[in-house]
Amino acid sequence: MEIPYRELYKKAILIRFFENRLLELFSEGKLFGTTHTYVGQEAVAISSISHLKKEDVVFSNHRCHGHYLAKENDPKSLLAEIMGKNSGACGGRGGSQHISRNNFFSNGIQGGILPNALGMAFAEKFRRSPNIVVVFIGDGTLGEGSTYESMNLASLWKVPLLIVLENNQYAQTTSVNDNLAGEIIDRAKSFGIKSNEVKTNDVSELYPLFGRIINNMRQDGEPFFQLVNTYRINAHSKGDDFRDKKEIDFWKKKDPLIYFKNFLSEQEINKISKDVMKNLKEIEKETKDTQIKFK
Amino acid sequence: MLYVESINNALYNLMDLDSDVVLVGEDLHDPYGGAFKVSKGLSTSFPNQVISTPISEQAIVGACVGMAMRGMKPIVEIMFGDFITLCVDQIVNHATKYHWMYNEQVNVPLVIRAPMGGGRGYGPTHSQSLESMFMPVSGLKICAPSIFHDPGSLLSECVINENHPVLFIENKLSYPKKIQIEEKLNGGNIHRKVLEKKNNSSETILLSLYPDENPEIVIITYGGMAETALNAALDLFFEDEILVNIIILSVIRPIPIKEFLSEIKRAESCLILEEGNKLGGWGGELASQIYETCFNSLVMPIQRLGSDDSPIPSSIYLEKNVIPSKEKIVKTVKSMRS
Ligand SMILES: Cc1ncc(C[n+]2csc(CCOP(=O)(O)OP(=O)(O)O)c2C)c(N)n1
Repeated sequence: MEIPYRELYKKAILIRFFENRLLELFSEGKLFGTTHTYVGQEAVAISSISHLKKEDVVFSNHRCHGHYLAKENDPKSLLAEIMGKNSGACGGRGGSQHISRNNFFSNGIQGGILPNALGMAFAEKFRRSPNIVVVFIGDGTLGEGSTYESMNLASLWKVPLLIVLENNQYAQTTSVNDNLAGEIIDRAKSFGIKSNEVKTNDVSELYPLFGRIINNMRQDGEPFFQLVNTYRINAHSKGDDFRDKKEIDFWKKKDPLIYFKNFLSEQEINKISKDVMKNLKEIEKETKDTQIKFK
Repeated sequence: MLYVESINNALYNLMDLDSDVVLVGEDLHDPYGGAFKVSKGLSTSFPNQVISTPISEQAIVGACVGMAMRGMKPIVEIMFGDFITLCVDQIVNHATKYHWMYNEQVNVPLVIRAPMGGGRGYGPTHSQSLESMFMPVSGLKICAPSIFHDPGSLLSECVINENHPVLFIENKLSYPKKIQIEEKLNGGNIHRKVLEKKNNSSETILLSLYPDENPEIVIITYGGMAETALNAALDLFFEDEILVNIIILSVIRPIPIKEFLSEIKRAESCLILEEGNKLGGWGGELASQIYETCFNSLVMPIQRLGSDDSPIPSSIYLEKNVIPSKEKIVKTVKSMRS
């Protein structure tokens, strides 16, 4: 499988710049509400979503910006939404964790999106469409009963639902070891759902892996559970990080962006980064300047 | 036709006309046909459209939200309305939010059917009328037809024409009863009139003994209490010569107050009657809306009657003490006169 490193890097660096800029805007007092940045996990979104067609559905959670940018590639509508502008993806009604555009959806209630994604996958199968539904959840969300109700039904109904579990080791402040008994992967297995586990931030592994999974799903139309063990480099939300600094530093060495150096020249990386940054700056300026209109 | 047959027929026709209509819930399949037999025969006629599920109320409602977002027309049956508590997150934070918070980019045409009410000795967790819990849920329509409505046609209306979630409340005691939708009922002495509609799936009914005369009291109610109210009104007239009119709503949220305001004003006082808990119930909201709507003109006293603030006992003898009965209605109306 050929890997489009340039395209993937472009998306990864877009997510990285976008998210880090949000945190700056918060500290400058330009943003209100909350945000959950995707920094450190970019490889998961880009490696999976890049295999999807426009018609496929992505259902995401509170940490949804990376998934949205990977699917819709439209930072303008996202920034405007987070800034509360009418031109936002949802006119400012949804904000950071409630985004929708085309076949992308997100909601900020842990666990609630899984049944919704399940129903969407059911609808695709019911209408004999070739589309699949991908739902992203975190390790902490496995505390919710809805996830088990949904996995049971997904398996019984045999619907094309890809559950991507991003284990970033923490739920807000609580370590996965304090939250979950038993093994994550065994949960999917016990429902008879085909599953796989990896621990990597390397797109050269993740991209072909998701390619195979999604191709298979288009053939057999059955659910799949992919566990990716990764790490969130930034704080859960805007601040309050109580994790061990050594642990964070360890994972910074496994930053998904680093792996691109094996496949792209420094020049290429710099050029793409520069272009993306320039574009983002323009978008930010434009968005800041738009006036709010009341209906 | 029986109330249960009306709904069953409607479901048959809905699935027959549109293969995107599915009925989803627990134990719906033949030969059982659902806990209250509402789905009897349907799985035989429409094997792909009747989906019996595990006992997973949250996931069932949540999955139907997803189906609705993809353009299907799901109808969920919650076996006993009491179990709607398991679906609250899906109703409050998902089904009713998506259309609005995604800035109207999606619709969620979902109907959740739930049998509510007591009177059958099912006890504290299988007898409640919990619909008033959903009064503050923006974006939700609550439809609760009585036996003086055609519940099947109201259900069809919701499934075919609504683009947003509907909670459709069926009263358990109504299932085996004949629906009464003729112009004259009770051997001809009760006049049934449909008040002018402001919205298609709402049908507000007026029952009166003497439609041209102004009543002393008007009772506003819905669902299973409608028949109890009528029985009380007959007693009050024939034993005490108190003329009581009854207004019966089908849509209780949003309250279609404009449909019946003029009928309230014809009476001297008003009794709001509901089967659910009076404390924090639907009646308090309705009373406030009546006062607010008529801030400068209404001088009418309003009384409320609902269940006592107590769990519902299993014993059918004790149950009668908690839920409004004909006797309690008669007593309350008499107390309103002096
Ligand atoms: C039902 C519910 N409970 C609690 C929260 C608050 N909350 C938001 S994110 C979060 C942690 C989620 O952890 P995880 O699923 O591992 O995802 P991550 O944040 O690590 O991406 C919590 C507790 C919520 N949004 N919804």
